[in-house]
Amino acid sequence: MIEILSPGLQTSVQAEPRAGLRHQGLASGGPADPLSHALANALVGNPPGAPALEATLSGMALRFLADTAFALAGAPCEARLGETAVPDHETLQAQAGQVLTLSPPRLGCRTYLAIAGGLEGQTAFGSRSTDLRAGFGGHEGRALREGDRLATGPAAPLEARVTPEALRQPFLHRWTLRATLGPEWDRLSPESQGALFASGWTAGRDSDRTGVRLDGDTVTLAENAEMDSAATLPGTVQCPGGGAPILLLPDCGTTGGYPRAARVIRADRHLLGQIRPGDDVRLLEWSEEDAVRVLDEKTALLRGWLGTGFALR
Amino acid sequence: MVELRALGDDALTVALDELPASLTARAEALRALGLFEEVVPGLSSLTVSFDPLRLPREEAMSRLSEALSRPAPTQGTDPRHHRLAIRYGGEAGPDLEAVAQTLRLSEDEVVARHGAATHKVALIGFMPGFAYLDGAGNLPAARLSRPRPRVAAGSVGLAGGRTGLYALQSPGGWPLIGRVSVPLWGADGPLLRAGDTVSFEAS
Repeated sequence: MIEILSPGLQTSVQAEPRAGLRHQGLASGGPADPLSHALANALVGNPPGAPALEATLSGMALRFLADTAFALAGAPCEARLGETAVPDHETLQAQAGQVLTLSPPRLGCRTYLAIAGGLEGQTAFGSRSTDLRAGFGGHEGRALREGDRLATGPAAPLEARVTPEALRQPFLHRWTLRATLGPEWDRLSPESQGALFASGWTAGRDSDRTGVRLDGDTVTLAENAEMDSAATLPGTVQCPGGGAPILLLPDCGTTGGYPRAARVIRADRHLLGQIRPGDDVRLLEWSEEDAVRVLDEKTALLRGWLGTGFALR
Repeated sequence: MVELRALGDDALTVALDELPASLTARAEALRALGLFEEVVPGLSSLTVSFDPLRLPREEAMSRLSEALSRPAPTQGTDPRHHRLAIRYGGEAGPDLEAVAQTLRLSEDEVVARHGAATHKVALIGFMPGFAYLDGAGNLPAARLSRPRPRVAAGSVGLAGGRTGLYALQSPGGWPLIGRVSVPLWGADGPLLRAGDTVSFEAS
């Protein structure tokens, strides 16, 4: 069991996403960076989708109420167990009563804390992820608060592991995302089509689990006809005419009436959860065929460590 | 021959000029194939997603094309008509007065128009179970400039000639004219499906 001492900006329980329910308006959810989430879980012997904490941008602090194995992955931050600095990407052991403090990361956006046995949380519509907008799942459907206590599942003894270097994401202030052209690409003006992949965009201030706004050139559409609302999926680059493009993240709504100009490739979507307000973002035009090739290679590499149950999505 | 467009390396979308009930039926049939991760209708489109490492793109495209080349299935998808008891105004519909004012109608007039119409479910989307209903074209209210952080489950909103039904408590930007008492969300998900019709009966 753990007790939250200082919850930080937005810390929530995230697990395997909701699947197959978008037609009912249910967001997919789950970790915004599912790769870091899975890497943290692997270090404590959990399956990739086990519930873990997703901490956003600011620091947080918690107390372990029992002897616990835990691990950190994602945005690198200074972490202390009591007075001792502890590294990420390694299996760590805490004793009952010890306090873990995470400082705000200087790079990246979200840090994952996995605990052996997983965190207990409410299942809603097949997932223990917290849907912060709709208010269900995870810990009472909300971000954690000071004083919250979360039970952890039973854990088998495990051997200490270290994430291989090759699987650790480099963290910078700039992100390059490969993206394919979307179904409403033609609705963009030629200037905006040119700019989408040539410009450097800046991640907007009010970015969150539903999306990252790309500040920079304003998008213009070739024609101003309204579009019928259509399905959206995480990774979609929505381009409202006269506004900024929006990169959709796992908590995005299921339909939208803005042109879907592009979509980040499946293999790169885990990066979306690490884009921090102010970061530089570039989109690189990629074909669907090449995207699947990259997905195949990346998945094979990751499964070597995470097991065959892991999939990028 | 339908035109499939990619939405990423793992999703396909197709424009379909069919009625909501038909799109819903097609979506159900596609889901029943067990090939796709998601099958999501839009107002005039269908989108499917899949894992391209398990279902190669070429095969996804051909299976989808093939399914769409057949006429929309009608079996088991008869649209239903729902008569929903509604409380208009007051605490249940805190924006009724403001909506009436912007439309230059009395509140009674707004209620009469809304209650007289047969509304058709165009789309379930955006938020869990949120239903977009056509049929209030004579009540072109505008969305709130500042959304409410919390809208009660069952709330009935009105914007742009459409009625929006909030199945679950959530943030909401539609002005609220009333609330229905029947649960719009159950163990099987949303009560309403695209293509269903709804009439509101003031209680």
